[in-house]
Amino acid sequence: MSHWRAVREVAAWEFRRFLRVRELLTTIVVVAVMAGPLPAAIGYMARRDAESAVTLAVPPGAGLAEASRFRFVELPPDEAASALERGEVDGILDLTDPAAPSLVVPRDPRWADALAAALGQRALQARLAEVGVTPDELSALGAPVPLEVNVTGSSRSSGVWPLVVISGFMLTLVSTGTALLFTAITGEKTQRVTELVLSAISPQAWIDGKVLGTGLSVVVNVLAFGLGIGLALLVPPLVRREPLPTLPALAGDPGVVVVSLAFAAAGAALYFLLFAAVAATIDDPATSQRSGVLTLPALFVGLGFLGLVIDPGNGVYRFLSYLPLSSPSAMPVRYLAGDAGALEVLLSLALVTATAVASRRAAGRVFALAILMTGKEPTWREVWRWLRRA
Amino acid sequence: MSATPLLSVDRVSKRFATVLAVDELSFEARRGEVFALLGPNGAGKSTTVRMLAGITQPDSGTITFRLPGAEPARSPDRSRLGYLPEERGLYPEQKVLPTLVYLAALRGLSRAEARRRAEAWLERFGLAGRANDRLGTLSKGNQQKVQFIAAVLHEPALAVLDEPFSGFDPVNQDLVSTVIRELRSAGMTVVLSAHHMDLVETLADRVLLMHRGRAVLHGTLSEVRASSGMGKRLDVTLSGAVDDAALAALPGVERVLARTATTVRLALRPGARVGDALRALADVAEVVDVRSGTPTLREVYLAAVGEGAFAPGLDAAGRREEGEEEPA
Repeated sequence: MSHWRAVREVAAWEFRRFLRVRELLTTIVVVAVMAGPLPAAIGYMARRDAESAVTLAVPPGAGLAEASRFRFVELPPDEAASALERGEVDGILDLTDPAAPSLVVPRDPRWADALAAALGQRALQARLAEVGVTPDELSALGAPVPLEVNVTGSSRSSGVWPLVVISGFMLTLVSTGTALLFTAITGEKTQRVTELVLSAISPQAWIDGKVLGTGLSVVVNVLAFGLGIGLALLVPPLVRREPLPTLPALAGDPGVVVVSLAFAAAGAALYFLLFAAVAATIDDPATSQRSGVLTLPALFVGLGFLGLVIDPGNGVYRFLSYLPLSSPSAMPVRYLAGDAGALEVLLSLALVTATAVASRRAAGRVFALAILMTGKEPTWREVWRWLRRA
Repeated sequence: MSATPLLSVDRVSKRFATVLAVDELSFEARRGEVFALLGPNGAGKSTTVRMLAGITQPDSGTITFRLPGAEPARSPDRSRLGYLPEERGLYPEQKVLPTLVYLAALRGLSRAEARRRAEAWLERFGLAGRANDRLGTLSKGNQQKVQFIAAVLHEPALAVLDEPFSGFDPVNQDLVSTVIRELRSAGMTVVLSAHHMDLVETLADRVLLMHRGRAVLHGTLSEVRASSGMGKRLDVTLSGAVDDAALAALPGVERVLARTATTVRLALRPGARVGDALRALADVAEVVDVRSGTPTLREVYLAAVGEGAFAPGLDAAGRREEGEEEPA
C-alpha cells in the first residue's frame, strides 16, 4: 500500500475516533450558554453591586452631602459604633483630619476606591471654590487636545478584539490538538496497539496520518466552539429584536484571515509533529516527568498575546514573529497591526513551513523508535542521537 | 505444501543491551506449511517473530521473503503479511467491526471488502452479534478472537502468529487450531510461536525448537524425534522400587525420562526393541503395566536442553500428552 493511502486511512480513523457528534453538539450548547447568559449574569451582578447604596456614619456637623452611591449619617461616636455593630451603617468615616480621612469597616470594602474618588472630588470642588474656579472652567482647562491620527502604513485594525481572536484561535487549536494527540499516542502505547499497526504501515505514515486526522478533528472542534460563541452573540439580540452586533474588523479583511489560517496550518503541523514525537517517548502518562514538556507548544502560542500588551513593532516581538515556534501566533498579530508587509509575512511563513517539513522526518524517526519502547523512557540524549541519525 | 521456501532466515542475531536474544538463527518456512517456533519463555521466539513482522530489525544476518508473484525481498509488501503480536491490544472505546475494517484497510483491502470478510470471520468465531459492541466490553478471550481475525482477515501469503493459543480456553484453542489448518489448506504459510507443545504437535508440519536464542532441533516431527536420539518411549508400572542404575543398564534404554516410586518412563534408543528391555526389567522387578508410544515434543525438547521432566503421561498442567497409546 502506498504511503499516502496509509496516511489517508489513518487520518480518517483518527478523525472519526475523536469526532463525536453528540459531544460536538454538547460543546456548541455549553459554549453558547457560557459565552452568552453567564457573562450577562455576571455583568448584571457587578452592575447591581456597583449601584447599591453605601451608608456611612460621620461625626455630627460634618455636613457631607450624598455623593453618587454614598449616603452619610451624622452620629456621635458611641452611636456610630453601635450602628456599625448592628449593621445599620456600612462603615464609620472619621473626618478629624479632613486632608486624611480614615474609614472603619467590618470587612474589606470593594467600594473604598469609589469613596476615595467621591471624597477627592468633594475636596477638589472645595479648593476650586476657594480660588474662584467653577467646575466647567476646570473641565475646559483640563480638556485633551484633539489629535487626528492618519496611518500611512497598512494597519488593519487598532482594536484589541482581532488580536484576541487570532491568538485565542491558535491557542485553542494547539491546546485541543495536543491534548487529543497526547491521549491518542499514550493510550495506544499503554493499550499495546502499536505493534498491530506498525506491522501494517510505516511509523512515518502513522505519525503523518495522526497529525492530519487529529488536526482535522481539532478544526471541527474549534469551529463548533466558534459556533457556540456566535450563537451566544446572535441569539439574544434576535430574541429581543435588537440590532445584531457588528463583526470585528478582522472578519472583514480577507488578508488577515488568509494570513492567520496559513500560519495556523503551518504552526499546527509543526507543533503536532513535535508533540507526537515527544508523546511517543512517554511510557506511563500517570507518572512521567516528561508530561510538563508537552505544555510548551501552548506556551509558545501564548506569546502571541504579548501583542496585546507590548507594541507589535517591538524588537523582541519582531524576533518572535520569525522564530518558527512563535511566529504562527506572532506574525499574524504584526500583520494585523500593519507592522509587517507581505514580504516579511511570506518569509516568516516560509520559515515555519520549512521547519515543519524538516521536523516531519525527525519526528517520524523519534516516533518510530520511541513508540515501541515500553517499560522505560528514552533519555533526551538517546532522543538527540536518533535525531542526528535522522 | 510446496518445498519452495517462502521465508529464509539466515544466521540472524539480535541483542538487547546485555542479552543476546537471538543467536545466529537459521531456518526456512515453506509455502503452505505451518511452521512452529517452540521453546520456553525467554527462548527468543517473540524476538524472532517480531523481526519477521518487521517490528524490529536483526543486528546481523538476513531475512528473505519469497512471496508468490514477487521478487525475493528483505522488506516485503506489508499487505501480504499478517501479524498477531504477543503483546496484544485494541482500541477499547472503538467498535469491533469498524476496528477490523480499519486494520484490514491498513493492509490494503478496500473498506467494502474488509467489511464483508470481517462479518464472515465474526460469524465463524461466534461474534456476529457483537460486531457493533465496543471492544472494551468484550471478554479477554473474545478480544483475542478479534485480534486473531485482524491478523488473517486480509488473507496474507504469510501469517506470523505469536502465541496464538494463549488466552483461549481449550474449546477455542481447538477452534483456532482448526482455522489455522484451514488457512494452510487454502495455501497460506503460517509461522507461529508457542510453548503449548502438545497443541503444536498436532498442527505443525515442521518445528524449530529454540533454547536461549539458538536452534536446538529443527525439522518435521519425525525428523526432530530422530535427531533427538530417542526412539520408543515406555511407561512401566512396577510393584516395587528399582534404582536408577539398574534402569539405565537395561538393554536399549537411552535415558530415564521420569520416575515416581512405582512408575518409570524410559526412552529407548532408535531401533531398540521393546521386548528386550521389558524382559530385562522383569528380571529385577514385577511389571504391573506397560504402555509404549513415541516421545512427545516436550520430552524431546527437554531431553535436548537437558532439563527435568514431569510425571509419566502427564504434562505440567496434569493433562495427558499426545503420543500416548493404550496399555499393551
